[in-house]
Amino acid sequence: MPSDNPKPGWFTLLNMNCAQASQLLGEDGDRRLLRRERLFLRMHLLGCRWCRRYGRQMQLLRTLIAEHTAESFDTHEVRLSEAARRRIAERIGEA
Amino acid sequence: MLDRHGNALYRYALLRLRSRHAAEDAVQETFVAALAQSAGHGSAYQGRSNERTWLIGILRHKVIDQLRRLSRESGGPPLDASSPAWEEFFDRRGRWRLKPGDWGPATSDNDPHRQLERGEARAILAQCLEAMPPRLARVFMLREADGVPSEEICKVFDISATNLWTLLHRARVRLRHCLDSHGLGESSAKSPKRLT
Repeated sequence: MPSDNPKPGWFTLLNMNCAQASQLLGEDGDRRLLRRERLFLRMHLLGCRWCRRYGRQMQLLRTLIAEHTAESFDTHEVRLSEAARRRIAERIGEA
Repeated sequence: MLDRHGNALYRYALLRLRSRHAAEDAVQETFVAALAQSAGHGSAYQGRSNERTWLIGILRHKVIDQLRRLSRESGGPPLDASSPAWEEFFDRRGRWRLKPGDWGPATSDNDPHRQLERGEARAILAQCLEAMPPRLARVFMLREADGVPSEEICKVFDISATNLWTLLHRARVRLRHCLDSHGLGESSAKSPKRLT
């Protein structure tokens, strides 16, 4: 991965706003946050009920997406078109 | 094999590729590769405990190939980082402009956990994923639905790590807001005192 993701400075973290905090809340599931990121995120969350709420909702969102992904196999609303089915069948010799 | 698994594989691919043509191509390539593998191992599928799982394993790689192709064809990053719509969510100082609505506590029929049990939350989610810009959705699904490592996603879309984090953040904030506005939980505008 290109290393253009510089470590945030103390000043940036001290002045963490909701946009930055919500991004870190999402990244917490994608990468291991730095200790100082975690510390200042926690401090921001202590004073920001909107970001606390956002963090909780991200957890539920992950559950929703996992269930949606699993269930998408079973829906019958989306199907291969007849043309595509014929083309694939011809290609693999099941025509 | 096509009759048994064709539609399911297509749904899997379409959810991630957001392109009918690309999804059909990925499914076709999957069946071709599956037949080639079977030919190399004697009789078809023998010893395979779950044919669907095996096919999905092949399809995952074909979907990533298609994503790489789509990314090359579209050119540039998956989403313009200066999209003006983003300004609707945060003000200049990075504070919430559209504050997250209330999804809890679990006291009413609007509680998302209850909606989840009834399937309503999943229906709303499907609508909101559908409404997400395709290029953004491709990145988002690869990470959130499949848990593909960030390093690999960056290579597939030829983007930097910073760009990826930004895109995922935008996708999450947009999706969360879409769920709000389509009736998941209750809007904070309606019940500002129900903060938790």
